Amino acid sequence: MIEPESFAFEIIKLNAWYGSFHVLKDNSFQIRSKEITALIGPSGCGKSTFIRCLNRMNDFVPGFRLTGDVLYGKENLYAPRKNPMEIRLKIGMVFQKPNPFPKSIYENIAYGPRICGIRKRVDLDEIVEMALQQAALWEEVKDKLHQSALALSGGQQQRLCIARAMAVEPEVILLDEPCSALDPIATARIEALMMEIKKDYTVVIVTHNMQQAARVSDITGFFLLGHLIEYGETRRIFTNPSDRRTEDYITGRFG
Amino acid sequence: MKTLTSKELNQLFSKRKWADRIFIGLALGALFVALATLLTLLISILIDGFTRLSWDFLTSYPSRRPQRAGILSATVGTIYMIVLTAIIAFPLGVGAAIYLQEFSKKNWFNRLVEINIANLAGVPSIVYGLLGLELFVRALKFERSILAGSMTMALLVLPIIILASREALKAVPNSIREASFALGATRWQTIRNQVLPLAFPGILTGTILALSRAIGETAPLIMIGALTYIAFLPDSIFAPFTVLPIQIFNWVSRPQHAFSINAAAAILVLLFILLTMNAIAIWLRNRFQKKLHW
Amino acid sequence: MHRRFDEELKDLKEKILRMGAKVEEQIANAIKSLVERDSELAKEVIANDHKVNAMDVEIDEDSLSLIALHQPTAGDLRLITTAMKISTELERMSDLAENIAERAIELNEEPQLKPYIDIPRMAEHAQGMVKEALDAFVNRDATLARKVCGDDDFVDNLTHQIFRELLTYMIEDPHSIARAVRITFVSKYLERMADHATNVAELVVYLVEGKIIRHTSS
Repeated sequence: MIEPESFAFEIIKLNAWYGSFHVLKDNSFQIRSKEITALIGPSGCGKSTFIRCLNRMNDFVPGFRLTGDVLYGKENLYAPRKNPMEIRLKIGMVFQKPNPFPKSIYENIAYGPRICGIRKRVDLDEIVEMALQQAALWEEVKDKLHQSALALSGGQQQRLCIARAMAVEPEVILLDEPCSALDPIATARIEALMMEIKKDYTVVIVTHNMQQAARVSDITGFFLLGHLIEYGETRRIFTNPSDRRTEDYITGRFG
Repeated sequence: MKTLTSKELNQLFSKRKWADRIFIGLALGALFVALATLLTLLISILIDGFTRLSWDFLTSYPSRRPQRAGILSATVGTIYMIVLTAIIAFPLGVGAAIYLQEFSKKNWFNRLVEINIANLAGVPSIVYGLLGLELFVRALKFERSILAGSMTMALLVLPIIILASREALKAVPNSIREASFALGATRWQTIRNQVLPLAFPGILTGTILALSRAIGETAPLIMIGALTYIAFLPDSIFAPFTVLPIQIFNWVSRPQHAFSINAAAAILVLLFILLTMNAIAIWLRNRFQKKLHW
Repeated sequence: MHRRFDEELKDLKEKILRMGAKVEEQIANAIKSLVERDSELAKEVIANDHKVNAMDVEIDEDSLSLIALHQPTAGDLRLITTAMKISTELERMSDLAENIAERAIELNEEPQLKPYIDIPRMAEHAQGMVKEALDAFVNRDATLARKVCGDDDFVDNLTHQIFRELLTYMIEDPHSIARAVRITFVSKYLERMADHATNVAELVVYLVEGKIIRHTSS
């Protein structure tokens, strides 16, 4: 049984639509804080849509509609007067394809703090260094902070995106298939990074790579056709899942 | 596929190669025709007008004597008009494009607006002249001034600027916007800091090309009353004026052959301004792209 | 979805069953060689033990390569690890059959001490347990497997009974001690076979339910 204080998110009867397409069906569960939760499931099952509900990135999709509650620390993220920008400062996101701004490495990281009002060079320098250290990228780029971010390799770019997300000091980091565009070595480094940062951040990762979910996460959730079918400790899900559909998906018999 | 003998293969390929060659020949021919026409025109104008170009020509006012006529007032008028048009049209056009691309929701009303803007870009320029005449010259009482002329031209180029700017904004990958939003930025912060800098080269190029079109427009300006014989320089935006195309038109309609020579020379000046503007457009675009050369 | 991996899992199961059949045969022959005093048969049993060992090794190697190459999870993973452990238990049982055959050869050189009544009963029961445990494996029948765990008591009781009876023989006639002790060993081997069959049944419960019931009193 999970103690309520250690929940980061509580999802209550979440339903969502893209226009008339019912993409998320009646989901209720909790996400633990300071742990890595992996969401797996076949393509089109709604896991990416779900993770974007957690930081209101779906607000930008025309025709998107949602009912139910998404509580973060007891506050409903979708309450009428909630400021989405504030939410996204606390709940950061890293995307599938690394998307650094076409600017220097320094400017990429400094952008977040800048738009929050931090102007002094000294402060920004400190934030940039700290973020790059946290993302295990500092040693590799400390001598070329003012070079283009696009000159980095794919794996480095993705770590840069993680550092950029961490520069605004969020509490949660959401990762939407962060390694699917990367080679195995870069993937391994990012996985190691995730295990490091879970001490300080709640991490939710969507992945279609089951072995990655098995390697990295503490809790795994299996989505199918918009509904969360099974959810529990990763060890148990991968040795003895309760639901037949989970077993079939995990052993590769479909999806 | 059944295996073909070497001979059969060669036959097959040589037939295709001939088709290739014929097509390339036709394409080159078309290019040649177009270039040749253009070159013929240019060369004939050069021959006619080049000798007439002189400092006097550039700095004299029009006159009834062809030898003393010059294009000073026309050139100055053109420059004033273009600058003022740019000042009016650029912010309006870019602002509209930003609204349409970044802020507006995809509903039927905005679709209607978009379609209409695209149509406006194709409306004959004389219609704009009529509009300018009624609205700016008569209703708003700007009289036949540079202001009226520029505002009319601004209306003319506005759809083009809006379309070009929208394309430039559309070309900015959405992943950049997403990354910015995910960091807690507002729409305007995202546009100002990420989207606009990336779209700017395209916007600039589109604007300058739109202005290049405006420079050559004659009919709308005649409609709003740009005069053909101005022997002074405009002293304010409310003053009457003339522009190079009108001056050229005027000279070409005179019987004396010497005026045709003048016209040719004026055409050369106009072409020069045009080419300069395009060169600036390219240079500016390259400069901005280098800055973001990432 | 028909996959190569499913075929390989099926092969693995069949290898377990073939090994089980061979082991059952070994046990039957070992007991027969004792009861019918057939030392030639006993020698055959001893010679055939290496075949069972080879099967054990093959199953281990197959299992390891399936794990390395396919990263199995959930039910597939439990099947493979269970197969590895079952083959160990079966190999043990075959060793015990070999031991029985060795005792049979020794006992056959001397006159029969007493009619073999309880030993064959034990053997039949133990063989039944092995067969049922393997059936439970094939059919993924946890209920049957649990029943097998319960059947162990019968064999344990018979062991004690046989020992008490042989004790009286040994007290009466010291010359019978060697034979009596050997027969006691045979009963011990059969008891251990039943234990191994129980282990197989517990593994089947894990396979089917995902619960480890080994080392618990139920």
